[in-house]
Amino acid sequence: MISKVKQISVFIENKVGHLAEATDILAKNNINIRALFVYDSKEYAILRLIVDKPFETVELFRESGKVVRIKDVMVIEPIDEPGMMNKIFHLLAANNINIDYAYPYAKAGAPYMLVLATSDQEQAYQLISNSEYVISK
Amino acid sequence: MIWSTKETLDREEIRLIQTEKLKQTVKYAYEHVPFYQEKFRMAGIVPEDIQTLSDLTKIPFTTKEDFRNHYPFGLFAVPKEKIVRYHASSGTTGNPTVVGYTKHDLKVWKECIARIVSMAGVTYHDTAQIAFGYGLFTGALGLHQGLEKIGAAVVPMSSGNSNKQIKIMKDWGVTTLIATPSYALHLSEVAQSLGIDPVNDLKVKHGVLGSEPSTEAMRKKLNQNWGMQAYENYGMSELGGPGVSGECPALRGMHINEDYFICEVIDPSTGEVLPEGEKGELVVTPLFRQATPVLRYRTKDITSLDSSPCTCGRTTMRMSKIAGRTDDMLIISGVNVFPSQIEEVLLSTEGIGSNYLITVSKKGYLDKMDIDVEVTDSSLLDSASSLDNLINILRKKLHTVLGIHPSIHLVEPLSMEASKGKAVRVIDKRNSEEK
Repeated sequence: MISKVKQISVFIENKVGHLAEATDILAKNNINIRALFVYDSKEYAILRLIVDKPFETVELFRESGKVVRIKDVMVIEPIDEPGMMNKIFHLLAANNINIDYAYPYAKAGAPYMLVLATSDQEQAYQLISNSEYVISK
Repeated sequence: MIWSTKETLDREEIRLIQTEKLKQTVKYAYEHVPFYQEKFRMAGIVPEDIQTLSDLTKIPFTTKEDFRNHYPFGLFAVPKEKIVRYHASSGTTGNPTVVGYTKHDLKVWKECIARIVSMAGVTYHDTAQIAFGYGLFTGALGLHQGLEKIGAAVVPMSSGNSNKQIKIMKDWGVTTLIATPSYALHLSEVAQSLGIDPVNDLKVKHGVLGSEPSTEAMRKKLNQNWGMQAYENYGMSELGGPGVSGECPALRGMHINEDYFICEVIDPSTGEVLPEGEKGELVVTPLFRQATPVLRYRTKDITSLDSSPCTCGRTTMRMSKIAGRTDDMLIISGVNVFPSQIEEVLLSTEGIGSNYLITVSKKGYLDKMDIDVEVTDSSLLDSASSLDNLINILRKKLHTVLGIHPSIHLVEPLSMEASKGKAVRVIDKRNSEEK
């Protein structure tokens, strides 16, 4: 399976409580987090989120004064066999597509799913969906 | 030791010398620098109006702005063939302030420094390590030449490379340290960390410190750590560098080289000259500088004057320790930094907001500058490297403009409370931490 999803990135300072403060906004508004990834440097963090109501989430973050970015990424569900991730990465590399970052995505019943952000989203999407490396719908 | 007989003249004699030299200086500046002709014309005066020291108040002030507006050589009184040296300090924004020296000017400068280091007890028996940064900055070369003049052995170390500084001090038997007070303190700690006790293992007994203000608490600590006596001195590049004044063993203020400088203290808001003893802004007129004559330069440093006799035998007027600034200039490890310089860099950089917060503090004994900057451009969030890149760009730009490396911290927008009128842009924690 492969699908396009909206990812939300939020800039937060790397301080105690700042992550909780950001997710407060989601909890209060009954927004469900599907995947979450925090890039952290010493000083700051980028919180990356996949949620059920992305556009509403962006608005809420903006209203609270956060710097927020929405971006298309893809979620893939590779066939559950050894070497399958390796094949997907090679497929992209052979087409000169860089994987900017990847993080796990949770869904009931799925062994594992992955969020991928690449240097060429459109081509990566085509390549992977035409491959036999992901579970067909 | 008193280097020159000029330091022990009767007050009346000093005033006579000053009057004579002032008349020459005014005439010279007027005749050689169109800027002063214009200033005099605007004030409705001619050089002949200046006949006594009290006539000085008729002359308009000169400011750092004037230097900047006439960058680079607009205030010079001699053609390039006569110049043998340039120095400069950073300007508030953009251009540095440039000063030139003729052979005569260098000679005067050396003489002034010779007196100041002699006041601090330095003689030809001493070996003096200069831990000021060499370069356009006047401190290092200024002290260097004056120390050579009195016959001291100069070790031109420059700043930084602290371990090596300590090794050379130890191996070469250095007796005199020339540095900023904060760097001198830092060096004492470096020595200790290397297992060297400066008091017993090193021979440093004179500290001739300057280019940034320090407190009595700091002096006490310096004396303790090094087993030396720390002396302060004063000057600034627009006045030709260090050499305006320095402390004698009585430590009752800095003796002014009055045959080369006339000092006044004014009320910074009205420009009125204040009576002796009152605190205000120091205004200095160097007497007869050939390359860059300056009349009534507003230093923006706060001090007071005292002409009462000193126990050291010198009769020259003393100025008190600098008690602060009339502007927002910060002195970071001896480097002059204006918040406006930082603001200019920030406002010309894409992706960040207009609010910022500068925090100055001490890391050990060294000054540290932190700048909080708002991230506003959401496209920077696509990859962490673009945020890191932004930090690097800011660091580089600020280093080019300021000459120091501040730490940049990216913060969330509006986290700095800009809305409440004029935002607090600068927090200086250095003095509060010291107490």
